[in-house]
Amino acid sequence: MRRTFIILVSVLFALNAFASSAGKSASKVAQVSKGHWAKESTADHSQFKQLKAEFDYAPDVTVACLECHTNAGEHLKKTFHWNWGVMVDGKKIGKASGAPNNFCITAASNETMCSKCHIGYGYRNKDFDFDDEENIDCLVCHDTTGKYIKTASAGFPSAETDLNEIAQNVGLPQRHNCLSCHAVGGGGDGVKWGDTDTSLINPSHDLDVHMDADGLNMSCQDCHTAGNHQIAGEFIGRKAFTDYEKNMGRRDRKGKTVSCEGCHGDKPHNEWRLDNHTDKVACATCHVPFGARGGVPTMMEWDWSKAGLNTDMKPMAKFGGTKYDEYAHPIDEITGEPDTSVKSHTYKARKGRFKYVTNMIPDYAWYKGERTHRTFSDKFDPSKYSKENPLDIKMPTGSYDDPMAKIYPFKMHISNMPYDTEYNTLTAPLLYGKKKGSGAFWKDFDWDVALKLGNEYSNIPFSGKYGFIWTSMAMQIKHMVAPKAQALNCNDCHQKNGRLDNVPGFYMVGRDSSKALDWLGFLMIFGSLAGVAGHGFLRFINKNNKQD
Amino acid sequence: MSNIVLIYKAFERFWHWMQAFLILGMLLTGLEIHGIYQLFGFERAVNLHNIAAASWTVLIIMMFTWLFSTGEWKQYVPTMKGLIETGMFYAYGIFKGEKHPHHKNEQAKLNPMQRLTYLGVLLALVPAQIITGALYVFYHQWGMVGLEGSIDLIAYAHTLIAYSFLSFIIVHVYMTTMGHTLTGHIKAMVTGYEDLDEH
Repeated sequence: MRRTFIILVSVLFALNAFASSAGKSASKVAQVSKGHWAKESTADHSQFKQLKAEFDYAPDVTVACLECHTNAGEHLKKTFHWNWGVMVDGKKIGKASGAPNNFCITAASNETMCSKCHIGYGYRNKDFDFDDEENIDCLVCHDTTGKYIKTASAGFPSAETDLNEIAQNVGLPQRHNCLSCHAVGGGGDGVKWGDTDTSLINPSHDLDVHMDADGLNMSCQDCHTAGNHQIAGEFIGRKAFTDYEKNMGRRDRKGKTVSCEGCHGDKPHNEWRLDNHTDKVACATCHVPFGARGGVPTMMEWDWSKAGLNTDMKPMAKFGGTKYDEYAHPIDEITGEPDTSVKSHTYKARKGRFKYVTNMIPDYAWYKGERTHRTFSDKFDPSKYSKENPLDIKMPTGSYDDPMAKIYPFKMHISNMPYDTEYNTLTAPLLYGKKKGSGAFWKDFDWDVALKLGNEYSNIPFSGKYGFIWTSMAMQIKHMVAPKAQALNCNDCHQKNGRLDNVPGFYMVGRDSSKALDWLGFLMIFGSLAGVAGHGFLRFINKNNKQD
Repeated sequence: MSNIVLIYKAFERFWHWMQAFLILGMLLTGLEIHGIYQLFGFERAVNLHNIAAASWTVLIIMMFTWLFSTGEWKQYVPTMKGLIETGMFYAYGIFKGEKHPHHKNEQAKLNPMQRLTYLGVLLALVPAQIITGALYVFYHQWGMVGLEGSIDLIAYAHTLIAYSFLSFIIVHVYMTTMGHTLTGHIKAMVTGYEDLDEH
């Protein structure tokens, strides 16, 4: 018996050793040391005589840039940064093509405001010349001083800007350049994306293992590789971080996809059971356990229908008065309690009612790098939609059966937006105006006028009758990769009511079960117990019956 | 008068108790993995479950090897002879204080009902559970052997067989109390010796 036991034990050890060695493979991440990513230019721009001119007009700086960087203009004009539009499934998508989103609804008619995040000068209406290279704003991306600030003035920098200082201090884009627009989409820091806010300018290791200022200190373009000014990872044109070419190295990716797998490979765990997940589960699903982890709140709900009240809670359109504003602590979704470290708007007269959170628990969905795109001409049946089941504006597509799709984390932003109750289409308000009486909602607070003018501008048919409808828009969560100790654990998903409770199409152990089967098991087990209990009882009361 | 004989050999006892330990362990962890309760935490439960499963598979291979090399497999050949009498005894005779109709000896230590039940467990439930378990663990490697399909049917089968094992164990443990004394059968499975005349 002892020998048998020894054999059994040695076989088990052999099996274990096999199992653990089978999962081992060399990590594909290049070993990078601190400072590896810092780059030094071979040119000192303060020495160039072209940049020593007295600049009083920003496009003159562009002309100076183009004197040496002769092809940059042509490159720039092919970018999404410039065009704000791209063809997807035969539809032109993007701000410049008048596609709706569920934050500020539309850029069209509001260009003077919105173009403070366009890489151009003078984009104030439909007449903007997308062919004129002198309209390109080089500085917003290449300023290294942090002093270049664009305001709501058709993409021009603020009047106080010292263009000479800026022009002589250009360099490779830094995190603050990208984040000066990408962190503040939707109208403020962290509002739009659940994973991109100014906390990433100088992040800790806890917030972002890659950009950790005291560690790897990677720049945005270490992942978002750029070639000919084409920045990789632009997702509207469906080339984002869903990786169709997993074996393409980082060097070859310039201007193409960005993916975790590009550096880490798709079997990065040295543990075969975890690696088994990577065919269906995106890296970010486990490794970005929460959105808005940097202390900056992100907006989850926006109710436009409540906008326009003065401090007496009366409509500004009729009674005038002072715009009503309200702040509160956002909910910290880890604790479920208000996050007392920060406050955010809960009401703004110009915009309506908001709900913000920190440490957002993402929603999860199948995604293959493609979202649906609703336009202002797409009709819908409003009776089908509600706050719980909002109208899709941009939602992920994909399913378990699609080999390109994986489960990704999202921030699902919902918004109660104006729509045309006659034509059953979304509708585009004029929001930004310079003065009262312009009809812009942010000046006059009158939806009837703002919608009439906005739709006219965009050639969208408008019946004059409007209501509000809840819509949803999915924002991918992929930045703010946490240290691995903070990644999700097995039972965050493998349980009933876990993170993946609503992701359909497959059987997941711990989450799914067959009710019928569990009832059958219950009957079998308790039937057996009842049977033996009854039998034992009969034996007990008959225990004096003995035949010899 | 007594007739004390070695009825369960050392390997048989080792196999039996090791298997009992492993199956109970797999039920405990398996039901947690299924989401019935929380005990070890999902990750540890899965690890323990898989270690027990691999051990059990090795044990079962050793057991079949033993059965065939010693000829003990003959103990499990089903027979109709005495089957009805045995059934009648458990259903009726035992309450009247009748004696068990089967006369145990080293060549026929299992009664006709035991033969049928254990044969079913060893040839159906055990292999089916090991195979569905292996398919479950190696789901992502199905493609390597040309298999395709979804995991849910495998999961349902594995769960149903687990419930069957639990039912079996409940009845099995209860029936150990039906020897000459309440603990007679269990003692025999521990020491290997049973007094066949007392039976």
